[in-house]
Amino acid sequence: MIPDGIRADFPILSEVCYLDSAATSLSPEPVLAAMAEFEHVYRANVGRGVHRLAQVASQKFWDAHQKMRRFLGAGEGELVFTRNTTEAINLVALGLPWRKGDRVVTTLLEHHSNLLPWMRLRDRAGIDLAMVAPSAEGILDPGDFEEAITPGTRLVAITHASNVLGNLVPVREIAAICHEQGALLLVDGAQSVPHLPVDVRDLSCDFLCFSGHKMLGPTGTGVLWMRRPEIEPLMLGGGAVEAVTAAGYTLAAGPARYEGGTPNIAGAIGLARAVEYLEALGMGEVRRHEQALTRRMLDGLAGIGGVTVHGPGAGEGRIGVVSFTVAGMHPHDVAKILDEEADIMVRSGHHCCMPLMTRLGLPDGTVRASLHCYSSAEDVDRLIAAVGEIAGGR
Amino acid sequence: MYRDLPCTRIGPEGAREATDPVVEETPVTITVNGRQVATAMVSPVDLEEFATGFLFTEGIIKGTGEIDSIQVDQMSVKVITKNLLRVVGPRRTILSGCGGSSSFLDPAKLPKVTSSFTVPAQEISRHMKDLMESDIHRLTGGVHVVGLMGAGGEIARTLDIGRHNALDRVIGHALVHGIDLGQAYVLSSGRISSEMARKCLVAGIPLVASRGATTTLAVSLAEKNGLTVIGFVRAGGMTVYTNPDRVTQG
Repeated sequence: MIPDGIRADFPILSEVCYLDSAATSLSPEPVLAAMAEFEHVYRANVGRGVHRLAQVASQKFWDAHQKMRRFLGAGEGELVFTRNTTEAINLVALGLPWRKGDRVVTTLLEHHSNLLPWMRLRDRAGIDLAMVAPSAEGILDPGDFEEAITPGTRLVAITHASNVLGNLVPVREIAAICHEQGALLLVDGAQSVPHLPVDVRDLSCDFLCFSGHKMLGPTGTGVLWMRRPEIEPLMLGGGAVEAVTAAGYTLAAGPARYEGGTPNIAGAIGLARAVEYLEALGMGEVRRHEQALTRRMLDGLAGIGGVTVHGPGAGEGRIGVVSFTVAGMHPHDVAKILDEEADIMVRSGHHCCMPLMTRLGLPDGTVRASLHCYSSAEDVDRLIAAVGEIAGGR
Repeated sequence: MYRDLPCTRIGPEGAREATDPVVEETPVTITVNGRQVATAMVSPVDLEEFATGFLFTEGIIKGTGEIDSIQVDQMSVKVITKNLLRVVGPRRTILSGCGGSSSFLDPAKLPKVTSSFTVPAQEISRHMKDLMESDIHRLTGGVHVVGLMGAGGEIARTLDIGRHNALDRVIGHALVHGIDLGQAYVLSSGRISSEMARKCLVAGIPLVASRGATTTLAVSLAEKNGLTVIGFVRAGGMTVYTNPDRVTQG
């Protein structure tokens, strides 16, 4: 059970009905307090100073990496803090040594952040880019990957859960195909890591990319986990090196080589606190809570005439991201009315997934309501009632 | 733990070149919230448990719950407490232990141990014999071995160049693993000094036994605060100096 009392940790919830957690989640008070403590008590740069504030800040920053590793079951590999999922994916796309003709397989279900880096490589480095298309419900068939992942495929880049339709992707099955063919697997966990137990050992991927700000952490935080840190760092500079002479340099060991320049220290500390907050709730509980609310939302929306829900039905195969359209209305208009008339915050439009929208025949996109641990049955009921009024008034 | 070093062996047949296992000794600095608390000469193993036990037996932390982060970085152990404003003060008592060690604790304010824990004398003898047969202890002849025992037998065993370090390390192990020290006892290859007694009292350990001797100050601290002190655990016998009710026979 997720206790009702946690809503008090998110003051915005007393003002509005927040159903846009897939875009960014809210940060609870302990996360804000941890960041304020850094500013008030030990603000200093990391890895460079010997004075005690620098020591404390450096250790807190190091410890934030350790906490995130434990959260992901990442005993092995390297974990690097980034600004967001987008930066994490780009680090891989720009850090691997590509050869002309290297094959990369991705899908039409992807967020632009997991498409554009590969499209640029196609255009500039001459890689062979294949995109597996999902069904009309957004479901990806592992059989299609059997065909698409050919011997010699260099990398497969897939999302773990759709940010539009909410469906979970069969990552483990796809991982097995990747292993058979010797391809690397990159998983975009932006919509999964914040909402369900995710263990890198279980996922069997080579790269896991996700955002801190969708998992109760501050904006401007993200993570790249690599099974083997074999990519070239994107940025070189202060903090990324062990030693420098006029003739050359030796890169630092550990995550530092990928985190050149002063990092988002307060952000990392806040993110670590968010991890502790989620661990205290239990990711299994977060998952169950959101599943129950998702079922309630899907049932409620299904009963409204003129409303079409896009994506799979309730169950194990989806997360709390629900896309719908109201007949005859532009999704932006629906979202605007929900805000103005009912104080409900939802996302509308193409959700950074224009190829998917084309595939689904939804050029204007959808309205998307998305949940997190702090969402309540009252939030869901309020949405259903408001959408009912909007659709009924047509 | 040890390295084989070249040496010259001199015996009745004269001198010859050889190698001999020698125990490693390393200075380890412990910092709390960016301030240096102590530098200890220790055997370079399980430093996280050692530092945890040290901070606890020195009264700097009351339990692992106060630790926010602990980082072993080469030969330093950096600890951050949840209360970052905590500054470890300069109150120190200089002790007579090896290396001129010192303590943050006021010996006049030690806690009393009231545990009703008992253990048969034969068990103490049996575990002590087992402990003394530790490989490195026998190999090098240069380390102290300390065992933490419970009703179910051995909980942890550690070796160190210093018996105080070894004791801190097994106490740290117990803290990290949530073991009830009120139902445990300590066996040591080395002398039970007042510092050993004091660390046991702070940790709430009811009984400490050694293969060697004890000191008058250790006995007086133990008497005053309810600790059982046993010396000369050898060949089936032992000398109980204080609180003998915890040692059963039969």
